[in-house]
Amino acid sequence: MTAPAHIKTWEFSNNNRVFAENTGRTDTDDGADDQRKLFYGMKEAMIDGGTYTDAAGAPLANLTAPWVVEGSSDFVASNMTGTDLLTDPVTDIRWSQKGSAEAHSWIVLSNANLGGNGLHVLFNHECGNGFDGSTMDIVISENGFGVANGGTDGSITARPTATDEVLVLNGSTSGVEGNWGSGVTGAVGRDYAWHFQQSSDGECCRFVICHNNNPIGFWILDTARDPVTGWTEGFIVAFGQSSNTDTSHSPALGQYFDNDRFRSIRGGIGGVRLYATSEVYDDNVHARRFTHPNQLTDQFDISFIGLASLDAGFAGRHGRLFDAYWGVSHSTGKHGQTFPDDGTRTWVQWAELILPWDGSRPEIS
Amino acid sequence: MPLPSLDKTFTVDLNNQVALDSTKTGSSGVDDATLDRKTGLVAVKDALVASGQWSVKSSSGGNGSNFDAGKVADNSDNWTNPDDIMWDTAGNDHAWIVLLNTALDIELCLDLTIIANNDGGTLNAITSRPTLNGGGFTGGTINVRPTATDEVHHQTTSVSYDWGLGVNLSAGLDFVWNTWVSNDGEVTRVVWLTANAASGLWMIEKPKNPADANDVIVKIRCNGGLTTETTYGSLHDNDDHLQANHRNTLLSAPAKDPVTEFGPGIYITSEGFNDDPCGQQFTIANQVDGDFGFFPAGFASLKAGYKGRVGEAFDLYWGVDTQPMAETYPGSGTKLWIQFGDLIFPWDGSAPITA
Repeated sequence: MTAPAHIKTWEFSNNNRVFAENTGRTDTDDGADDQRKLFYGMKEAMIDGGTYTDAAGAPLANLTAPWVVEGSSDFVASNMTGTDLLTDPVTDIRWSQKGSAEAHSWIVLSNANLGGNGLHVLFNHECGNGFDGSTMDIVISENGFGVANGGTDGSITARPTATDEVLVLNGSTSGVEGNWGSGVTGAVGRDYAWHFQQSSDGECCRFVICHNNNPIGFWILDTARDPVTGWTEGFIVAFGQSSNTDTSHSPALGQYFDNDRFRSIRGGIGGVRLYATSEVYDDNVHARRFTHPNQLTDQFDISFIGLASLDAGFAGRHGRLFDAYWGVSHSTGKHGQTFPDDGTRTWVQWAELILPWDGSRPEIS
Repeated sequence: MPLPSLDKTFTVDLNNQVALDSTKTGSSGVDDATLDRKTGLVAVKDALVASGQWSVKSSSGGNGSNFDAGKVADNSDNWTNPDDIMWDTAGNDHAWIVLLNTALDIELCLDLTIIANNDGGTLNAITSRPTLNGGGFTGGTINVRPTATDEVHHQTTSVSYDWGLGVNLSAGLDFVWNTWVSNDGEVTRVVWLTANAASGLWMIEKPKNPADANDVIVKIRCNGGLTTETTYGSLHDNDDHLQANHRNTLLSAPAKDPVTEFGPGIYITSEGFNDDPCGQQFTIANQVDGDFGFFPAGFASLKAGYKGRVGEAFDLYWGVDTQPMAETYPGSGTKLWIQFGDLIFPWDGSAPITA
C-alpha cells in the first residue's frame, strides 16, 4: 500500500514478552502466573509503568497522557482513593468465581482525554466457574466508579459500581465477549508477546496480544475521529478475542465488521453497539476480496474504518477511527506484516487490522 | 454529518426539459430514434462542448439540413440540429461523432448504429487515448464510424442496455437532462430523468486517488429501461455498466476483454458493514445529528489483471435508498446536493425538475 501518514503521534510499548508459567493457580477459576504477568504488564503500560518508543523506534522516557488509577483491590485490601495495590503480578492478582463473593483483585483506571467526557474502566478479575482466569469483567463508565461518583466503592469480594456502567466484557461468558485475550480455558502455560500503543494526547489506546504465532487478543479504547454533531460521548471500546480458541485472530472483520462489537455509552440509552464499516460492493467487503496485492499498484489495498450503529435511538454512521485500516484478509502466518516495504515499518497488520508501528520487527511469540 | 465540500468546480447545465415528440425524422424508420431523444442527445453534446472541456473532432450528420438531406462525414460538427442525426443498422448511412477531451486524453466516439427495429435505443460507445497510446479515431464515412488502434468498447448495440432513454420504444417521452463538467475537464457526468426516474447516467472521469493515474472511468451503458438505474442494485452490485479505459489498451489483456473488447468492469463501491452498504442498512436519518448520510463512492474491479481498488469518486456519494427521487440537501433548502436514485450529485440550488 501507499502508506498513509500517522494522523496522531503514537507512543509504543511493543514486543513485550511473557513466558509460559502454568503456576500459581489457587483453584480452577484462577489464572496462572503467565496470565497475571500479562495483565500486570498491560496495566503498567497504561499507567506509565512500561518502556516506550516513538514511531521511529527511539526510546521515550514516559507516556505523555497516562491512565490514572482510581482504585484497586489486591484481594487483601481495596480502595477507591487512587492507590494501586497491584504492585506484584504474582502476589497481588487473583481471579475468583464470579458471583461467589470470594476475594479477588480488580482495578479502576481513568483517562480524561478519551471521548468527549473521559472514560473510566474497571477490570474485575472474576470469571466463570472453571474458566482458569481466561475471562474477566470489563466495565466502562463516564461518570466514574465509587461512592464519590454515586456508585459503590467495592471491596475485596465485590467490585465497585458506577451509575452509568456498561458491562462490555463478561467474566461469565466463555467466548467472544468474555475471553480477555489471554487464551481460552485450560490450565496450560502460554507464551505471550504483547504490544501497546497510545496516542500522545491520550485519546486512543490499543493492545494486541499474541500467542502461538497468532494475534489472539485485541483491546481498543479510542476517541472517534470526526464524530457527528451531537455524539458528545464520541468513543468506542472493545476487548477480547475473535473466537474461543487459542488460535483466534484478533482484530478481525468477523468481530467488528460483521458484528457490532464496538461498545460505547449513549446518554439516555446506556450501552450501545457499533460496527466497524469498510468499503463494500456486491455483498462483500473489499478486504475479503483479495489475498494478493492490487494488480495495478502491486501494493496491498487498505480500507478506511468508519463507525456505525443500528441500535434504536442511536442508528446511523457516527464517525471513524484514527490511524486504523482494514488490510486484505490474510491467511494464517502473515500476522505481523509491516508496511511500507522500505524498512521504516510505520504500520503493522494484525489479523485484518492495520495499526501504527514503531519500526521494530514485530514479535508474535 | 456536515455536508462534504466539493473537490471540483463544475460547469453545470441542469433542469433541461425536452417535450415528447415521437416524430421519426430519418429514413431508417423503425431503426431511428424519436425526435425528442435526438433533441436530448444533440443538446447534451452541445452542453459538453459549451463547457470548454470537450470539442468535436469529427462527425457524420446532416449539418443543419436534416440527416438524409445533408449527410456528410468530415472533421467538423455536423450535429447542429436534432434532425441532423439518424440511427440505422451497421453498414447503412447513420450518424456518429467523435468528442475529444484533452484533459482526460480521451476521445469518445458515439456511433448511432443499432440492431434492427431498435428505435435508436442503443448505440456504440467507444473510447481511445490519442496521446497515451498513440491512438485517436481516424477515418470514418457516412456509413462506417472511424476507428482507433487502441479502441475500448463501453456500450454496444446489445438489446440489454440502452444509453439512458429506453430501448425499443417508438413512443416519445418527456424527459430532463443534466450535465456536469468539471472546470479541469477531469469529470463529466450526464443524468437523464424520465417520469421521475433517473433512467440514465453517463460518466467519463478520472478517479480520485487513482491506482493508475492514466485510467479513465467510462459509463454510457444504462439499464435498458425507463426505471432508475442510479441504484445500489445496478451500479454497486454489478460491474457491467462501468468500464475503465486502462492504459496500454493496445494489449488484449488485462486492458480489455479480448473477446468483447470491453474494458475491465468496475463496481461503484460504498461504505458499509456486515456486507451491505450503509445506505441500505439505514432507512432513516442519523439519530444523533438528524442528517441523512453521505457515504463515499469509490471504484473497484474484480477483473483478472485489474483486481483491486481503482480509486475514489470525486463529488459523488451514496445516499439512503429510501429517500425520494430528487431529494436535495441540506435541510435548510440551499439545495447544494441532490439525490437521484441512490446517488448524490452536486446541485446549483435550483428547484429540481424531474420530467
